Amino acid sequence: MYPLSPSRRRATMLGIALLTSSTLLLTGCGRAAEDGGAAGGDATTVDEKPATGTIEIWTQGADGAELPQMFDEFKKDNPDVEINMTQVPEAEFASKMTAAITAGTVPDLIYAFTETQSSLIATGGFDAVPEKLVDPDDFFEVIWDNSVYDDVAYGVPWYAYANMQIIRTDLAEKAGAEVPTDWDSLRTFAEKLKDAGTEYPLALDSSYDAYTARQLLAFSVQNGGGFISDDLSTWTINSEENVEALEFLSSLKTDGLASSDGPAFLDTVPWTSSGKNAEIVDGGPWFISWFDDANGAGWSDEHLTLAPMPTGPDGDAATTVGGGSWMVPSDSENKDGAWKFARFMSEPSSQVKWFEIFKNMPAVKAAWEDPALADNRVLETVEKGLESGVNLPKVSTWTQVGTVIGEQMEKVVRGGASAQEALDAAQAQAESIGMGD
Amino acid sequence: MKTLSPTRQALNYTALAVITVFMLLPFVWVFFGSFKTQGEFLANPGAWFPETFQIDNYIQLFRDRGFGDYMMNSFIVSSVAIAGNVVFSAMAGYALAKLRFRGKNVVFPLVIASMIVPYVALFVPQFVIVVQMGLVDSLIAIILPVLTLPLCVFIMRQFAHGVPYELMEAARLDGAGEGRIFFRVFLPLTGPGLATVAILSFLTSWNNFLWPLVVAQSQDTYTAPVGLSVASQASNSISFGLLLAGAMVVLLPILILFLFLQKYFIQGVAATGLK
Repeated sequence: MYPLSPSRRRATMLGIALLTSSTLLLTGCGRAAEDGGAAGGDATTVDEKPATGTIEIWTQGADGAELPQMFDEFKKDNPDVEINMTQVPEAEFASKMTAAITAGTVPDLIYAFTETQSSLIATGGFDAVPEKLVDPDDFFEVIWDNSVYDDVAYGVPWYAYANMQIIRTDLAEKAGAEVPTDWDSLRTFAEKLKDAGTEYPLALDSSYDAYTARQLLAFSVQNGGGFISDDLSTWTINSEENVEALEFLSSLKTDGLASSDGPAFLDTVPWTSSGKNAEIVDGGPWFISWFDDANGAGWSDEHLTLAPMPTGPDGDAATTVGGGSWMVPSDSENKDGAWKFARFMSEPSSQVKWFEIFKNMPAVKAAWEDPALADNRVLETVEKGLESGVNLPKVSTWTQVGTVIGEQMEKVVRGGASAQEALDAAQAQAESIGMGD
Repeated sequence: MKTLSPTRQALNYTALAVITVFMLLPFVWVFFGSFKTQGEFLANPGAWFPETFQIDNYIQLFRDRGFGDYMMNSFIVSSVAIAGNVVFSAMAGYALAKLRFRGKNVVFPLVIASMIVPYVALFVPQFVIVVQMGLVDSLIAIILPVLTLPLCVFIMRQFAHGVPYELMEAARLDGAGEGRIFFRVFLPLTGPGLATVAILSFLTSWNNFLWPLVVAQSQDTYTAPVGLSVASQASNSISFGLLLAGAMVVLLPILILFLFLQKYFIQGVAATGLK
């Protein structure tokens, strides 16, 4: 019989659960931290000597195509190291990683996006970040915190971004509307634009899945709410604050200030370019370059105003954030080299270099002070957002629960349920789904 | 046989033509989309035609993204899968339909049952087995699970039932052994079945995504669908032009194979009642 270590057995169980779920985030495992911190392996000590040996890196997303440029930088001070990189399709990264942990055929280093960190760490197949490898205070708190489970950090943040308000300046000026700063002014802005002829002044997510739920989460936190208790033990989806947030968000659609059906993700640019809507609420920073791609260079500067997300009734700020962190599998054969590369990538100079190469925004605060990033209005807005960023619930069942919340949100928008009824139903379903323990 | 009136015939052909056009529309959109720039997709995602035809997507795919290597891997995997399925499924079908052996009545239900088990349930154990065999990150590991597909065994067994016993008995009386009967009598009579098996096994192995992704630990062993998924990754989005150009390239061998074997394939489908 093939002997499986506890971590691999757990990974196997999780893998089967992941693969039998369309969301790839089913239950079937306990978080590593609950088995005593870095159950998958102990943190190694990392010295200051140059890295040696071969480092196998698996990448997801488009970042991998440009990453070899950073390898060259790393090799300047680490001439004896060899780096092999494999680009993995983003959609199935968690499946591949889980299978690899199960069989012990892992790479030395991966980077995981914020959305997938929970399910990966839940396998118990990753080491804790070695003590003193980096200083947590150097990073934006929200991105550092995303890979911390029961006070154990499993990832060294690489980059981070925050969503924002992206506003059609010309349309707003024509309507005499000012940049929204809170919920009331967001509604006023939308009403003025509607009166001035904009069909749907606000673009809100209308996919009614976990992404839609993520948008509600930002508004809920702005209202003093949230989806999960601080100790991650209880769902708090139907709290009074969340119900109020959903009532506000859905009223924007039911009052015709936003469409219930769009824009779908790819329609966002044409809708805003043509003036069908006048503001993308909770828009990612990458939209700016998309507008230039679609309408010609300089279009964004000419037509768009950027602003942090509006605050709630009591002035609470909250913003949707994302990013990625470096993680080292417990079965890695070159942990020393892997952590050294992760440390190198978190140095401010490397962070700036990577911004210049790929435009990914630094997770290290000091890097934002570099002249290369100064006087950039996108970065300025993102930086403000990162200070009030909200992480997704750090449990492996989030995608399932988020999908349930999104489905219930659609019922409210379509008139099939009140906000209270919808979130009560979502709460009940979330409790039956659990936390993935 | 009753002949249709000219009006009825015209109506039928018109209906078929309309349905065909609707079914082809997505392919037409993919074809024209493969010549668009990313900016065009972002400006007007639903547009049918590119503003100017440019073949950059195809050039980038092969020159910069190594798609030629991925295609070659897919060809190797699919070719071996076709050969394996044609040979082994024919043998299995022949044995299950024409030979008598202990446990025969258990084997066939097991083959059918294996078609019912969801693939995801077999996935992780299958991967662990491949690792234990030391085959991870090899084309052999990608090929093994599709070397003999249960559906192909089923098809060949159905075909074997249609081969008259009398022919085989005659061959036996002439002194032919079991191997000779199989190759000289049985196989020539199951052409449509073999063509069906060839197409189905090609489609299965050619379109396989999850298994090659997990087994291939380096990009050297990626097959076309996996390579395409990587190649079309763009910052916070998908490079739609590359994706559609890749889709066209991946589609081409399937079309060619089907065009060559369609006559037999239709016979095979009709004979086995497949849907």
